[in-house]
Amino acid sequence: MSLQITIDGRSLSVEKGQTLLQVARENGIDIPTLCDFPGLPSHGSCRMCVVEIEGRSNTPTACTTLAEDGMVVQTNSPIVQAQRIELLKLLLSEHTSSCLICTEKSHCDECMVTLRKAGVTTGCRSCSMDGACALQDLVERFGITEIGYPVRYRMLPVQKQDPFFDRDYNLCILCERCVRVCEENHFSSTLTLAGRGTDAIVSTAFGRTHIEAGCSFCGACVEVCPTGTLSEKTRKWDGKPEREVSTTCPLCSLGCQIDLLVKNDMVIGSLPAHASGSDMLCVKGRFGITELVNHPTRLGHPIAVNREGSLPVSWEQAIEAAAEKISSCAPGKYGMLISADCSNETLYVARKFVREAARSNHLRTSSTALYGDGLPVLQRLYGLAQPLSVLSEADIILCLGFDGTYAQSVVDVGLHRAKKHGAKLVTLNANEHSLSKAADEWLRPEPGEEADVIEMLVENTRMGEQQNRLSPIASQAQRVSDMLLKSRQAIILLGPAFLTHPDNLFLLKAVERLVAQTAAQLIILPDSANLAGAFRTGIITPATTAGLQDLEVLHLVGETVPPHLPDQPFILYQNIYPPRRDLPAGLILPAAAFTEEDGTFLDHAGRTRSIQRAVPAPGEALPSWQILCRIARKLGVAGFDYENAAQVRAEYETTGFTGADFAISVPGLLQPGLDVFQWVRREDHAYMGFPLGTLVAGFRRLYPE
Amino acid sequence: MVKILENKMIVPNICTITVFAPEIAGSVKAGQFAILRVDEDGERIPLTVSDWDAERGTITMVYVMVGKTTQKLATLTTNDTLATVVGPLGNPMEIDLFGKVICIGGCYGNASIYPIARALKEKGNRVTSIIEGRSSYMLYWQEKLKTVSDQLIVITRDGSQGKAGHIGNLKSILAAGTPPDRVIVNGCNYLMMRAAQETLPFKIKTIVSLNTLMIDGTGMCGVCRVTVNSSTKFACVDGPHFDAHEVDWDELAQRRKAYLSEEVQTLRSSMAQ
Ligand code: SF4
Ligand code: SF4
Ligand code: FES
Ligand code: FES
Repeated sequence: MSLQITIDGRSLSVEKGQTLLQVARENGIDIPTLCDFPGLPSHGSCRMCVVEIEGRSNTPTACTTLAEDGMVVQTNSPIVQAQRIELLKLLLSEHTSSCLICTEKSHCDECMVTLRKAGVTTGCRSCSMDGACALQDLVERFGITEIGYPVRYRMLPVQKQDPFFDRDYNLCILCERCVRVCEENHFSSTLTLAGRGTDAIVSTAFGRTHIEAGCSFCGACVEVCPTGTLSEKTRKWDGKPEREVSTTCPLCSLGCQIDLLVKNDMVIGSLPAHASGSDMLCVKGRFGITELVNHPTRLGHPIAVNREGSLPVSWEQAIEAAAEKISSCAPGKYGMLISADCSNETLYVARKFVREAARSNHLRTSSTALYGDGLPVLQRLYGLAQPLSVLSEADIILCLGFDGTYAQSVVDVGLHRAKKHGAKLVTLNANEHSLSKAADEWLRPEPGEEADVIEMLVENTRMGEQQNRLSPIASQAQRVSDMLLKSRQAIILLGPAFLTHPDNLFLLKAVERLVAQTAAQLIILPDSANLAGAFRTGIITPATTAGLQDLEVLHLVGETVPPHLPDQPFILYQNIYPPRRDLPAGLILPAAAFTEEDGTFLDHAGRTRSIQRAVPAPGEALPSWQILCRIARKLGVAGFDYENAAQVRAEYETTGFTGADFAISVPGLLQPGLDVFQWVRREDHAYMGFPLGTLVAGFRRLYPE
Repeated sequence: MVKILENKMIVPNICTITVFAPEIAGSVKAGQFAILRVDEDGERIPLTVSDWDAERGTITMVYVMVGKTTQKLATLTTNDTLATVVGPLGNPMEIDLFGKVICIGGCYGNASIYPIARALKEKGNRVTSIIEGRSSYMLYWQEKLKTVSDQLIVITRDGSQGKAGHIGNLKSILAAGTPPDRVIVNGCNYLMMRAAQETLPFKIKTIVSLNTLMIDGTGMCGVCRVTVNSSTKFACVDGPHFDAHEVDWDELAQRRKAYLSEEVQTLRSSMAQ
């Protein structure tokens, strides 16, 4: 039913249930707000949005007042303007506001350069939100030049003891956007309002650190805070970004869409790409990326390494030397290891390169060791993989080895949302994890006995309803099986921990049967960004014709140097960071990071996700596929003349892969002691072979070694 | 190793540190500075010695948190140690019987102007101290300054205490009453430069204490180079006190920014503190 109301003399027809603020916004009427934030429940605390309504003596807040038929509303009358100005002045009197009303602020902008780096904000010029602050906008809008109330500084210590963001509650205006976004959108209760009256302050319960309070460091609160209270540690001194570039996060298989914030050709931050429907990120994509791609060790120039030391060389010399080594290599003595963090374009060119330019069969990835024996089953299961969005269709979700405490907290939020809409949540995990409390059932086997529990579920669902189980976990499994059998749509979610579990062959086979028996939809969430791409290009195969012993040339693309090389091959080291240990002899070839090249990934459901070049690569670094093309051309091999990533992609998309070329069974490959893959730790959080903790300082706190 | 007796934030972003350094405490004069290092391989930062107690062997300095080293310094507490404190360095402020002197301090200068005012007062000058800050809560050492000044004038940007505004107020202060024989300014470049602009039309001798980047503080590295009266000077050994009307302020501002991107680079970390 639609209602008629009048705002500022305009007659508008309105849906029932809309607030005056919503109606005004939809009709381009600008009412000032502070505590309101689109998508969050109305709060009505800042009173910036007060309006006059004919026939009412008070001035209600537009964000909490529902439109009623026949209402006549003034949004801009002298009365409400005056009220807003007084309220704003009161807020300013408890804020570091002097710059806002300083008569010399324009000179100051030029002169006080060093103050930008202040440890504690004392005014706009030293605040991380300078130029993007809601208070600055309102002061400008209302033309405020004096405060008129006694000023107060709360003298609260700035909270810096958590990683990733600082909290300076001396700047807080108590709009509680942060509290609401954490509670409503992230199902977390990290933040609350503590104290009363003039001592009221946003805080964690009992003043704990964010880590102690269970924060996932998703950064949503930092994004919605209209002031400089919550500020990203790495981005305090950069001011406003000049442009934003949409791309895909390469730090796990979810393929979250992110907006890179760019200034002076540098990535200064990353936010969820709201325009592409991405409403949150986990800590990796939100806070990990700037340090990762701007790391001071980034390689910018080719280097030749030999016993005497290392020497910078030109690309020309490096390519020539690489080609030389490869062409003089005995047949079958060249091998390439490539990371599943590389783009499809690089994986595809690498595959072609190994076969056609290096004339070898030795192409592998460390993921082969990471996913171990379970790989063939995993590859089969990938054929069934569904996107995360199917969670909304479920009435029961069985999470196997999933923990969204920090990484993949996006999934955690999706699970909570599904639960809120009625889905039952079952989790199988030997340890405390993010779903311990939220789950309706927590199947908690002894570590190492996870597969047995899945086996029970398989058995129970095969046999139908059963009675009398002996052990507690068995009767729990029985309950869960009954739930699965009765469900309309079950979903099984396979987390990173089970995918790389030492028992994964057994585990995944059991999952395969369970899926078949329950007609469940399957979601697979590996940490490797482009595992699906690696499967599609046939890079990942369970076995190959030989181990990488006895190689003359070992070509590492986005992989680190194995610590115990059985012999001393010449190493072509192609990566974005320098090797973690000295190379005996070889070439260091600087590659571009995902922010510096165009390309695509296949996400957890096999959908194509694209990455965009947002900034230039450091020095002379090149996209990995281009480096391979240059070597191939130097070797005189045709078919490596792509001008851009799109051309590579066109060829890749029309090529069918079987993977069989590289898959010839030699089971001994993964046996202890035999294989150069022994160094691969079950290190989930890594980029191009480097654990995130070695690159992003804050990570060391979340994932201590 | 130098022992810290006290280290605390007194107003937002400004801290005082008192350390045990008897040699410096026994010989330092108003206007001299010390260079300290937080750890052996740390950056060297010059800080004016703002107060001292020769008997107890202690010196007190005031610093602003504007970078990696000062923020690290702020995390230390009583009984922690600094790797080194070297001083006294630089020339003392020229102290004589001038007659009427205005001492102006902003930011860390609220403190560094204090021993200068004290020495001038002891010499028999009539001292007016002016301190300046963004807001009333940014001001400190007011009581101390009062004891060594005949008059204390306060300026705040937001008018929350004393006169509202900035150093532009100096014009009206100079115009009222007998003009001073000398003006001395300690604070950020901007404050010193603007004060110099205000005193120029009155032809009042104006001395500023420059806070350039420094490394050794003994005239060897040249980092502290400034142009004064068209000739090159080293702030550490030729200064830090110079005639404000002879300083090349633009060059000074440029040189101050020389390492800004490197300074920011070291701060760009998500590490918990
Ligand atoms: S980072 Fe996310 S989980 Fe942590 S307090 Fe902010 S909104 Fe809540
Ligand atoms: S921290 Fe920011 S978002 Fe939270 S109440 Fe304060 S001003 Fe609002
Ligand atoms: S926006 Fe309505 S009260 Fe804050
Ligand atoms: S600080 Fe090195 S010459 Fe002055």
